[in-house]
Amino acid sequence: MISMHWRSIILVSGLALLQSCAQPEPKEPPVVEIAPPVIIVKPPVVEPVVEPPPVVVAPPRVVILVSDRTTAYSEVAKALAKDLGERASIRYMKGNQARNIKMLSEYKAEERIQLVSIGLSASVAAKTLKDKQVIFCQVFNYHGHGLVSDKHKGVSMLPSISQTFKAWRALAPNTTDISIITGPGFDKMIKTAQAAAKKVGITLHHNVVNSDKEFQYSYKNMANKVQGYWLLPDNRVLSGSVLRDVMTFSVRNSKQVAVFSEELLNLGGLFSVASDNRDVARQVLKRLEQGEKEGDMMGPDITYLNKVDLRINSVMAERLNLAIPKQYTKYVSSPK
Amino acid sequence: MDRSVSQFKRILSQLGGVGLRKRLLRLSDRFENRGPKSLANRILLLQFIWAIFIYALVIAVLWFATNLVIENSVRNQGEAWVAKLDELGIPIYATDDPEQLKLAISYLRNFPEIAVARYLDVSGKEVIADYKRGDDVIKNFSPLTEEIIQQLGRTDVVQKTLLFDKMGTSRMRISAPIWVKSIANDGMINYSLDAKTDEKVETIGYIDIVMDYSKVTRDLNRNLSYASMIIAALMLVAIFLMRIMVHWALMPLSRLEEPLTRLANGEIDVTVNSTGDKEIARIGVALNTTISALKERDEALRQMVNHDTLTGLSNRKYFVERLNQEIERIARGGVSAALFFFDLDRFKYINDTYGHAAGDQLLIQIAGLLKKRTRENDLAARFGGDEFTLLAYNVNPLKVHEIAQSFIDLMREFTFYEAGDMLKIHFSIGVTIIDDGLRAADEYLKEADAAVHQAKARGRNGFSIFEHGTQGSTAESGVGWHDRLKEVLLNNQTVLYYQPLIGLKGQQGSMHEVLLRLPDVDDKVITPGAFMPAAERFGLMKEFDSQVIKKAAQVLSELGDPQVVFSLNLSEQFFSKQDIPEFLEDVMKTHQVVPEQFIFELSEQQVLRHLDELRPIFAELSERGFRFAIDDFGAGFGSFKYIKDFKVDFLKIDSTLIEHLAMDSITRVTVRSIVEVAAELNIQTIAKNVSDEACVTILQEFGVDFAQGNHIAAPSDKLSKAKS
Repeated sequence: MISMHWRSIILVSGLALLQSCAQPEPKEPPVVEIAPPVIIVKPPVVEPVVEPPPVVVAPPRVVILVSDRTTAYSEVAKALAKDLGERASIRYMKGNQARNIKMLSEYKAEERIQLVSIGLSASVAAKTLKDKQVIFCQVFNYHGHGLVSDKHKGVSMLPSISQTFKAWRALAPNTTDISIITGPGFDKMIKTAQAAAKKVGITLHHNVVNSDKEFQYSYKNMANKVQGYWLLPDNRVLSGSVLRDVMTFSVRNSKQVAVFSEELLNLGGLFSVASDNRDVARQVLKRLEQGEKEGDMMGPDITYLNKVDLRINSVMAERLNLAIPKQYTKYVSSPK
Repeated sequence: MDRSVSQFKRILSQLGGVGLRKRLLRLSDRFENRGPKSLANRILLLQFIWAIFIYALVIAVLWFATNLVIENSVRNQGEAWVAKLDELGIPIYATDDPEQLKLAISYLRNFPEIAVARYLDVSGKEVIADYKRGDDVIKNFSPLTEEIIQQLGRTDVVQKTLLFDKMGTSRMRISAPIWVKSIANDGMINYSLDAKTDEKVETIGYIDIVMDYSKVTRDLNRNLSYASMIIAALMLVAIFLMRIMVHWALMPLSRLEEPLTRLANGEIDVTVNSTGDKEIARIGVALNTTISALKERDEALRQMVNHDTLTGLSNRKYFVERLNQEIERIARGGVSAALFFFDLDRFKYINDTYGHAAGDQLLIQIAGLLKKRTRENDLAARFGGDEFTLLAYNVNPLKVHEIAQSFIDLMREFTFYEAGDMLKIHFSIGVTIIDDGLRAADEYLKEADAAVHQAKARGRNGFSIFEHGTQGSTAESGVGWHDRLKEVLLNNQTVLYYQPLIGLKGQQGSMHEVLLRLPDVDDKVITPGAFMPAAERFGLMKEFDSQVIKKAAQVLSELGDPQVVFSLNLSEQFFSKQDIPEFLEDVMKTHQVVPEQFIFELSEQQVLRHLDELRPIFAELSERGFRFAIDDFGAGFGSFKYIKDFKVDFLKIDSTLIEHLAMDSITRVTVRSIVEVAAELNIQTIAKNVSDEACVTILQEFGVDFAQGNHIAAPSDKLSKAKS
């Protein structure tokens, strides 16, 4: 039997959830979404001995700027809003970047405010609020757009690198060399990745290219060196045709390819690794809290995620003679 | 075809190169003079021309289609090569490593179809890397123009722009941009293969290649040559087989050639095979039908040419031919033959009195008699108007007498019935025996004619056999008259006699009938009764009439008296002249006389026979002032019916009526009636042969206008006035 106490918690949570669901979708122009009320279940009160009451400073309000209504963005925004409660408000960007920047100018005068920008266009617009604390997320090429500054930090778009290599090792115990090809500006991330790879006995090769053609060339050129590739979502050096070409090449040459989208499994990717939206939201919240406490945005420019959303292509695994360990069978996905 | 050959020869004659020209001219001469063309060869020639045309068409279409296919193939290959070079060119744009460059470019050496390949920078001006096959010199391979670069550099298109430029017959230049693409910002989150993700396209350079497909073209041309030779050989074989087939197919037609050639050469005893193929059989039947018709027509023509259409007897031409043959036969020692000449005594009288139809009927009946009595092998002919001839083969003088006598007997029994009249017809026969064949046919004819005249001189219904030395001159015969009359005409020797006419009503002026005479020996003259039949027979009367008119005009001119009027007798033959008005006008002008001084006389019979022909002539000449008189009116079928609408000025009452005027009351009534009706029609009357004063009195009483006769004045070569 469920106790009355838990029953009331479930009931209140359900109501809150229903309310949030019933909340009308924001409409253009940007609508401020009020985060559903958060029910805090307090532990049994222990009477303090004699302590003067602390000075309560109201936490800053958080404006969540969302590039568009892409699921990957809006889910992160919702998770954040849920966690932040009344402090949070969500604003969706318009197509016109100039109008977005003008819209954001209203926050310049506000003292107690933090901003979360989800996606590239929101992040680029938020870059103009130099004095405000901005945490950006769901942006891969943050370096190229100069999104990092003293007050502007980010949460990586990539899933947990260590988890990724751990899974790779588990799937392909014999793999020794893997290649990553990106555009310029990812040296730190690559070093982190190389360290993570090394931990599981994999040498990570990195090539920097400037176009999809170079990507294609570099990809094929490295075929003799590596057994697998990790395709990162660097839009600068990828095009649809090149993606298809390198995927075809990989299948023909029996290369293991870790892809950034589950859909690319259909083209012969071995497994896909994507960020977990809740993980993203959690990391963003951490950085917000950090900023709130420290009054400044200390710490790394980019916070990496701890989790990975993994999907394994059983067909490709079989083709590559790879046995899927038991603990990973739950991630198996058969391509369409 | 012949015209084409002539044109060909004309062109040849204008060409230079004497030797070649002569040879070609000889060839064209041989072609031109090669004789009639064969149908089989013509069909073969047409087939050959058609085959050549088809052959040329097939080769042209084959060549054109293959070239089109090659060109399209080269275009497709070019597109593939552009894609390949796009990929090969990555190191050129991605790395500065010269080894990579060489590696990329060296790949092309394996592909001879690539003559030139160039990688250009983004400006399209600077060559980053290039490849050239061997020492090929590519003409017109100029740098890309601004316009082309602009066209190629467009990125707002779905697919790259490829420009194809054909360089000559076996090279193609292909220019294309090199693109790099990148997925749009934020396009990677939730990347979908199906959804059309925006991509940014950028041109980073250009590929410029020249594809050389001369080898393919050479191969094609070689193969086409082989194919055309094979096709030509097959066509030659086909033509050879066709020739055999055409000859085989036309063989039945060729078989017609021999009978048709014989037919063309005049043989009509030809039969064409009408069996075998349906079409040929039809031709055969048609030809046989035609041959039959030709035979019939030939027979009819032969009949027409050699026979007299009226009597059915042989005609003069055929008779003379056979006579010549017989003379030749006899000259070679053959048995003698006899030439009979028959002359009807009263034919002119029958003709004039009862008309031509009666005359014709008489001739038909006489011919029937001759046929009836002629031996089977003998040849009877109608020689002239009333003259018949007979060539009796293998006869001796005794037999000649027998034959001649049998004809005389036959004619004695013969009676000609016409218009209720029973007429006894007589003829005279002249015979000459051809026993030596030394003379010509016309000589024998003259002998026979002379014999006829001798027989006539002896009396009617008799015959005479020509004997050399005992017979008179052939000049006396009808045959002799011809030369005599021609001589008179030629020497303008006709003599004019004048018989005056008196006016019974006291008319003024002087009127004379002009009479024709021929000069004879001792200042005598020959009267028309002697020479007129011969002149008519020889068709000389119109010449005599013309000469009389001219002489009369001359006399009138010399007289210079417009009151003098001449009345001239004209023959039927004169009116066969085509230019009578012009002739008369010319005579009037030459002699300065007027038409009113001329009265032309024609007998009633002549007028009746040629009523339709004479009416317009009379009308036209009357219009000019000439006057006309109908002679011997009332002798035959006198009728006023035709005179009503016939321009006549005088009626000369027939002499037989005038002669019996005093004795016969019916004649008187007749003459009176004629005069009264003539007066009613405003026609003046003339009485002929007035023999006494009593007659003159009666004529005056009847109202006759003029009278003439020996009683008034006999004909004379001098112009004289009549007794008043």
